[in-house]
Amino acid sequence: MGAAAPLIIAAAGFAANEVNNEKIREKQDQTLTQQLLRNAQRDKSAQAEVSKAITEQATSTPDDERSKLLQSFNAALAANQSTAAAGLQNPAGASNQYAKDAAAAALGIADAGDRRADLTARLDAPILQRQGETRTARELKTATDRIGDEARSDDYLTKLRLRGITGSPFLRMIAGIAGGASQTYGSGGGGGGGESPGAVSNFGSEAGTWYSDPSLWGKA
Amino acid sequence: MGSFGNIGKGNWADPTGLVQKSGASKWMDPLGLTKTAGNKESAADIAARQEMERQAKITQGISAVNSAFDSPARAAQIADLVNANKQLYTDEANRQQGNNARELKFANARTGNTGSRVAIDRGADLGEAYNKALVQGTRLAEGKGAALSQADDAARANLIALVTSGLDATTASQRAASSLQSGLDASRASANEDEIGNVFGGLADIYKNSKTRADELRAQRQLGQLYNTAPTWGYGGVG
Repeated sequence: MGAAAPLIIAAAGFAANEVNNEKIREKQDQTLTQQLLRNAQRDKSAQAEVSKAITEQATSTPDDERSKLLQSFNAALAANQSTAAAGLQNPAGASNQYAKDAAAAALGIADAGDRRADLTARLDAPILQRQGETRTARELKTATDRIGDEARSDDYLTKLRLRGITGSPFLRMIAGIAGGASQTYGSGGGGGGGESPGAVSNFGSEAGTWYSDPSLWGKA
Repeated sequence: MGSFGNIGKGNWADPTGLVQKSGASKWMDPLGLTKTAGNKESAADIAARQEMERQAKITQGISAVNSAFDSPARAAQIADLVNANKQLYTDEANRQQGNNARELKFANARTGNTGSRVAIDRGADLGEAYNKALVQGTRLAEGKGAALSQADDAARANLIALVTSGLDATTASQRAASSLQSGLDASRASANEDEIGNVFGGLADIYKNSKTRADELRAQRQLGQLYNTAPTWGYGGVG
């Protein structure tokens, strides 16, 4: 082996370490990809909820509320029509003209009631409509909050999985043995092979921080 | 960040990629040293793509919300509310005006002022009070429309916040949705004719005094009949 032996051993350790790091990166990448794909499904669900809410907002009108209110008001007016005209009852000995005028006044009472019902329905319907829109917004918030909770839970579990990825024990062993052997030779050349697995920062990689923090992914 | 081992078509163990392509890696390279990562999307690429898609969806969603609130139909709803308010207040002003015109007519008669300058002044007061009621009612109606419009603006901002946070639900950049309160107090948008008040209140004393004066005259007549004295016509008037 001679003088080249330490270099060869160090190179072997480096190679084993690099392969192990590559495997770690690959597994981390797979783990993160799986999480991203799961989140993509959640994003679709969130998009569906948002689309539904926007569609409901865009098609929201007070017409239904107005119709229901008007129906309710008209029912109340019809049920109490005779009471409303109680003040127009013909007194004893009243003239025919009085009877005609009283009948006309009764019609006026009915018209006024209808007009009042219509106006009131027009006033209250937009308020009820907007209460419905608030309900839609609240439902959207509930649905998307739930999706966000699932994503956060998944994120926590993914971080746990990422911490558990340590690569190949066999390659770690080779890297460890090679590192130890090269130091034994004491030539001082190629000492990097004995580095512990996962310590990839010395190789110019940012994997140590980049992979372990998924929140950094895809963010400017 | 690139993969350290990849050089050209292969990686550090197989720079040209020939070993891998030959299929020899199956038996010559049991550790898979020559194996090159496939041409697949990395997690970072997926994350970046998803983020771009998400941002596009958010922009689209905000635009859709704004369109919903800026629609002519929405403006028509607010205009209808204003018109309904105006009509209700005008009806109330008309009702009060009718009652007061009738009261004034009889008050003038009771006090002997029919056709007098006093009757003209009272009629002018009645007309001015009516105009004041119309302006006040219109003002209130426009205020109701403004309140509804303001509530819609708050709802729009709220929905935009919800759309943004909803489409961003799976990322770390969560934004809390603003208050879900509709911001619409029913009393602010709905008409209440009491708000217009009794705009003809200033005329009430005329009617009351005219009735008092009529009672006094009636009492004097009765006294005159009782004691056979002449009634004292020709004074008073402005009740």
